[in-house]
Order: sequence, then C-alpha cells, then structure tokens
Amino acid sequence: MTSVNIDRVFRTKNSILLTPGRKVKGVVWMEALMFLIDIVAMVYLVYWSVRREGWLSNNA
Amino acid sequence: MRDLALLLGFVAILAPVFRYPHIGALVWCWTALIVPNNFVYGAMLNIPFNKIAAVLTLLVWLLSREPKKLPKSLTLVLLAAFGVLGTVSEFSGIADGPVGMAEWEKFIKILVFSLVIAGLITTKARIDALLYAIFLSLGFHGILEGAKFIVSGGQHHVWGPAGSILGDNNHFALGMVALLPIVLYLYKQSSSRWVKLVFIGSSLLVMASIMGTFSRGGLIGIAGVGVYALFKSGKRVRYVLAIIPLLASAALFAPDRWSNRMDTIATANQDGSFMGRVIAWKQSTLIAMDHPVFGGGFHAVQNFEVWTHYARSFDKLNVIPTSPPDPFGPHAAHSIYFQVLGDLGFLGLMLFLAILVSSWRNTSAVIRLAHKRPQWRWAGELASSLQYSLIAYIVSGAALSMAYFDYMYMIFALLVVMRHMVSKPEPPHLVGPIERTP
Repeated sequence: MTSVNIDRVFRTKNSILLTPGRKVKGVVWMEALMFLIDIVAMVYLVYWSVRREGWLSNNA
Repeated sequence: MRDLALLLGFVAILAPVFRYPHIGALVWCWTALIVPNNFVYGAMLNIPFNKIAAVLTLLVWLLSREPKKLPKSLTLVLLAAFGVLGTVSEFSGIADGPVGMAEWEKFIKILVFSLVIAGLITTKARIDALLYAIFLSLGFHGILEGAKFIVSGGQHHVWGPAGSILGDNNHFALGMVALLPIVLYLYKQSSSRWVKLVFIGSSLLVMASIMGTFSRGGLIGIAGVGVYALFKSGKRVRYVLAIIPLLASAALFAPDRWSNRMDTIATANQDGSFMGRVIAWKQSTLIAMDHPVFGGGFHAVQNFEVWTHYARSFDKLNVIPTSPPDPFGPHAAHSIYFQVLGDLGFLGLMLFLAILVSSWRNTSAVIRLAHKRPQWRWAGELASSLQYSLIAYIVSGAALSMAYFDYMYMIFALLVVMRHMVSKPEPPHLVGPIERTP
C-alpha cells in the first residue's frame, strides 16, 4: 500500500469519527464491495450495448 | 483482490472496442470520471487506464469502418477554436512550468473526447449507454460518499477522488448537482420498477453526498436549479408545496456544522475565503488586461511569479475594495469565467461563453423539435434535464475553478449529437414505438 492510499484510508477513518475497529473496517469493505459491483455493472453495460448493436445476438 | 477485479473488468470492457469503437468512448468516460486508480492498492495503482482507453478508441475509430464525419454544428466549431486558442495561449503564455502544460494536456484530451462523442455516440442506444457510464462513474462517487455521510451520522466530510478535478469538496458538490438531472432522467426512462428504485436511492445518496461536502457553492447550485425549476414548472404552487417539507426535513436532519457553514453565505463579504476569491478574480482580470487576446496560459494566476507581478499592480482595480493579495500565496481563479479570462484572455472568455450559449440553444432546439413527435420524446426530456445541469454549472461555477470539467464537455457534445439527430428528416425505421431502456 503506498503512502497515497494510506492517506486515503486514514482520511476515511478520521472523517468517519467512529471508534477504530469494526465500523471503520465496515466502511472500507463497503467501499470495496461497491467498487466491485460498479465494475460488474460496467461490464454488463458494455455487453448490453454491444448486443444493441447486433453483436452476439440472433440478429448478428 | 480489487486489483485483479479491476484488471479483469478493464480487459472485459476493452475487448469489444476492437469491433465497436463507440464502446471505447464509454470506457474513456468511465475511467475519466471514476478514476479507478483511487480504489486499488497494488499493481494496478499506476496503470494509466484512461490513456489506454483513449488511445485505443482513437486508433480503432480511425482504422474502422465507423463513419468519421462529425455533425455540422456551431458548438463543435467553437470547441475546436477554443482548443486552438488554448494551445496558442499555453505556448505563448507568461507562466512557464509543468503545471500549465499538464493542464493544457488535460484540456486537449477533454476537447478530443467531446469530438469523439460527437462522432461515435450517434444513436439513442449509444446515448443511453453513455449516460449509464456517467452514472456508473460520476454517480458512483456520489453514492459511495453519500452512504459514508449517512453511516457516519453526518460527520464524514466528503471529498472527491484524489488527483482529479473533483478532488476538491466544492468541485465535487458542483459535479453532483450537475449529475442529478441525468440520474432523474434515467429514472424516468426506465421501465423496470427495480431499476427505478436504484435510481431513486442513488439520487438520495447523491444529495446526501452534496450535503457532506459542506460546500456553499453546492447549495447555491441547488438553489439555482430549484429557482429555474420553479420558473419552468407549469404547476408552481404544487412545486412550492412539495419543496417546503423537503427543505424543512433537510434543515432538521442537517448537522449543525453544515447549518453553521451555510449561514456564512449571508456574510460572504466579511468571509476570508470568499474575499480571497475576489482577490483571485481581480488578479485574473489584471492578467487579461495585459494579455487580452491569448491570456497568460493555463494556471497563470497560480504561478508564483505571475501572482507576485500582478500583486504589485493590484491598485489598478481598486473599484472593488478588497485587501491586497498575499504576495507569497497564489490562489486558484475560483470561477470558471475568471479562470478562462486569466488563462485564455478576453477572446477565450468570449469563446467559452459562446460555447455555453450555443449549448443552451441546442437544448432549446432539441426541446422544440422533439415537441409533439413521440419518437423523439426521450430527446426532449433529456435536453430538458441537461438544461438543469447547465444551470448548475453556470451558477455554481461562478465561484469554482472548473472551466475544464470533462463532464460538462461531454454534455456539450451530447447536445450537439441530439440536435443533429432530431433535426434530420424522419427515417422511416424511427417512426414507431418508443424505445425504452431497461
């Protein structure tokens, strides 16, 4: 982990103002989970878009 | 784990670009606005995702059979002229150094991307896809930060992704205010109840994230959008009755820190932060007065030598009383208008205003042309939504250095495409049932 990212995580920890531990960890997990969902959604969007163009569909 | 997911996801979304270059525009948009490097810690940290997407899109587009013709549009001519002027300004400017050059590179990339949108995003399906990509990138930050603000009981101070134009809390607030109309448009367009729920939930979280920035500029932007909505609405009394409980509940649940911060809007002329902006505006004006045609080059007002030089002739603008500028602390321009004025001179400001005006005219033209034509109803609704984004940018941007905010240039280009689409004679295949998004 580079210093930039340590700063970012600590910024999250500081700004959350909760006791260190599970709740802070929960926020970090929430961020990771949402990022993964976003990547999956983007992949879905791209394949939805190419299907609309006719690729990979019966009309291709 | 995140690195691996990002790598796999990036490869998966990039692969279809070789067949369909418009997918490259979606990936370009997503990587530019989400800044994925901010969410990984390992090997992917320094991978230039946006640059890869941009270069690949341009290459594939040039080599593919996809048409390369851009719509005939005054806005595109103005954007091209703005790009030429920016280039001349940077290379003949008074501010030397890598900061201005880096800003110029971003500026050119943004303008090239707007031309790519105008050339590749040419159908409703592609416009929908681009709007979803915006939602999944810019909207992602709003949803995430809004959720953090809520789970922290209003204590989390929202900042945008580091290393992007949204890194500043005020900039982030403007970005989110300008995004909200698109989220609400997507809500209206969706036919699935679940998807509608996602957009409603997202817009609430985005609103929470705006509150979490503690930005006065954000509040002014929302107020500007609200006033415009009031004037535009045919049901003003109902609108006011609906907005009162919303405002009352926002005021009730807002943290004291937020209320205290917003209260300072009324005493802005005694506020150091606001008066610092006025000083920066005066400095930008002085640069433009000396270099009216080409300005001082990108970030000129933030250049130490330029700032100290103009601090000495600050008396020329005593018409507006302020304290003298800090000789050792250059400030950002803190206004889209003064930023362009200092960077690109009066000519640049005229071009920038002309781009805003022509984009506004594009929205009006699309709304007018789509009226009473059911197959273009979506275009009318989208243009109407984008008017709110433009209002937010024009109002909030008056106090923020966001003249080169990529999202707004995407909107300018999108409006060019939409106007071109609705102005064309009706192709027979478009007359039929209205396409709905999922």
